[in-house]
Amino acid sequence: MSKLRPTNRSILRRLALFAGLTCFVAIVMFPFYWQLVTSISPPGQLTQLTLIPDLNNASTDAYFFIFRERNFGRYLYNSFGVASLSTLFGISIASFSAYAIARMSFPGKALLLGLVLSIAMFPQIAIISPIFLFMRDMGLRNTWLGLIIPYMTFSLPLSMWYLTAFFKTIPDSLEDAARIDGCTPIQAFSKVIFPLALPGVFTAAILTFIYAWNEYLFALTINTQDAARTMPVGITMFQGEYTLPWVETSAAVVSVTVPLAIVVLIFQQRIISGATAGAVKE
Amino acid sequence: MEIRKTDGSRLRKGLSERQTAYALILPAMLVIFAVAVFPLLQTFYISLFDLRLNHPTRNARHFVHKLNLEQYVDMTDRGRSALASLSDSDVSDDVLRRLPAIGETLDRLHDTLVSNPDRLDQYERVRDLVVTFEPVRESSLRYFRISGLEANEALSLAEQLQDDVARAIAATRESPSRQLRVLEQISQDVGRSIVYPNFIGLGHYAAHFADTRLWSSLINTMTFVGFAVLFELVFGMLIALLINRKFLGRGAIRATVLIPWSIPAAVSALIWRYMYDGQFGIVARALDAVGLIGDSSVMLSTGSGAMVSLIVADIWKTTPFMALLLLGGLQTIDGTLYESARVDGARSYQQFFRITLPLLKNTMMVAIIFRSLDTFKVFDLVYVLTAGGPANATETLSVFAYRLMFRQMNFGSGSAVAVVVFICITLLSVVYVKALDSDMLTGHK
Repeated sequence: MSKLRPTNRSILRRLALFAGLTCFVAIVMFPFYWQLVTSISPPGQLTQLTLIPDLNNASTDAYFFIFRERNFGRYLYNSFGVASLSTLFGISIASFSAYAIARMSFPGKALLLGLVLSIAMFPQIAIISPIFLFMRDMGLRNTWLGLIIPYMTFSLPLSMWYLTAFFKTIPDSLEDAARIDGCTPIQAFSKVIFPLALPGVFTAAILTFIYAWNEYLFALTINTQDAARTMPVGITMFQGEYTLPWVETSAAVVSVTVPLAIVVLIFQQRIISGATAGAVKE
Repeated sequence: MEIRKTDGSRLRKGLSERQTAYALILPAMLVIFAVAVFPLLQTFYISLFDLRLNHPTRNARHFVHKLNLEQYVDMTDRGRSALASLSDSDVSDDVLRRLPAIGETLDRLHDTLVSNPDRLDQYERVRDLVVTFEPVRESSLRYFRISGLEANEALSLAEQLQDDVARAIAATRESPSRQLRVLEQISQDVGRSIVYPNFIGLGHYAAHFADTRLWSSLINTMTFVGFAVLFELVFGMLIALLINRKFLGRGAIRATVLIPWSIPAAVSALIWRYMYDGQFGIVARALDAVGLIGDSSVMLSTGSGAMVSLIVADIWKTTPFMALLLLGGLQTIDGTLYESARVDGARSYQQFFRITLPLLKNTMMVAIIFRSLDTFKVFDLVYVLTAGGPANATETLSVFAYRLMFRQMNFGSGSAVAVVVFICITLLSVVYVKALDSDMLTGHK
């Protein structure tokens, strides 16, 4: 293309491409932009918002309000704790079995893979009642553990799937060399394979964390006390009996989306490869 | 590539590898069985019972008639002591004359229910706990089994008791004393210590299939899935084709599209609920201004408006993911195919229909499968954005099941709907797997 002189037609095509992309990005980003505009709007002016905000009258009160008057800090703390621990436990369990599936031969492997895949498709509403009764009887309602147990379970399919594929990309010869040098299978795993697999483990961890951070159904049913709520549930509970405090809600939305957007920007390659792993391979 | 010297050592090595493998997968298996497979069976089991968490006698599963001894002992003891203090107190003769009948009915109730030495023994043990205000923790102690005949007999005696007490109250000229009030309450409640079997087999399923709400929520779910996945596929394809070219800032755009996908669905539902709001919503007001909708409250207050709102919000959130899946497929297509097509004079739409679409078929199938199975389970987006309303017009199966279980506390009926969701997902998966299989088979030929 670059060798040719740009013709009118190719300029037109570039313009069309550019216009299409601009349109697309504008549509995708507008809801977030509008949340930002709303969150800094002065009180009582929600019906007079303009597309370009009047920055002289901007107010950051809502941001202080959600942390001082609402339990938003607590929700974030709960979400962070639950998501981190679910990731830790889930990834440990997943990497053991992914290693076994990728590297060892044993009867029942196909059955295991089938089971894991079916769990990925599993509607969680189908088990919410026994899980709820179990957590109630064990006294695990309104605790972190009550959410960690289901989260680590339902993160297993994706992380096992991804990690198995990743472990398979590590050459067998490395492990054989370790085994010949006298390593046990466990040592071969922990000293040779695991360090090489760390990037894959990290990707699986990001995806598990995002899943646990975003989960709603279990969080809504199991942790109903305000102090035990996670962020997605807490943020939807800002609403009063008749009204939704939109300014506060939008401040909360902006506060959780900005860090997430930064994480996504930094790790986009990993996230894309992880999230589409199961689907692109047939 | 293991080094094997003798058969013996190979056997040992093989065994130890197998054992290690099993040890490694054991935690995952345990967790999956305990938290996913076993609860699924339990859900089916619960759906066979009329289980209501807020109901006095149906809050546990019962196959047979039982007597709740803890309640029975508590009530009859309080009844007898009220009766005794009433006989000693200063009441009119009219009332006094009616008291022995109450005592007799209580005795007959006791004889009917606590009719053999084993039951008497259990009765005494529970009574020891109740008089010291200890809770009866074991359910094997709290209940004993009674026959249906005994249960009916006891129930008619309870009604008899109600009559007896009512007659005594009718005989008082002044307002009834506190003891009489206690007796009245107990005569009304004693029947509740008899637990009826709430095993109803497939009764919930029959009731749901005969009712319209399950079907309308199924139709709502399928409408949502159909439109959302269709539009996501079309838009996703457009975007994938756009970002498949090399241009400045491609990485940035790829990252941008990931943001809606990575935020919680509940949060995206809130974002859209605000924009659809009849009073403050910018989207609702814009649509109103250009005349697409009659007035700005239409988006969330009419059934079709709410369904469109849901579908648009879902498209916004998941089209990027669809685009990334399709992009993955696009990048596996050999670029020389397009070059030779260009040389042969194929126009770009011809290239798309003759090269891109056929080669992308498998990727598209997988993307449709993933997305529709996922969308079929939709809960948080609907629950937060419309809560199934207005008038259940956007109630999906998952939201219906949730409302039955956690709003009405009707776990049996809600679990039946949850099982229906599971069956639908399983059927869909089977159909899809079959379609994919046959497609790949024909692809190989």
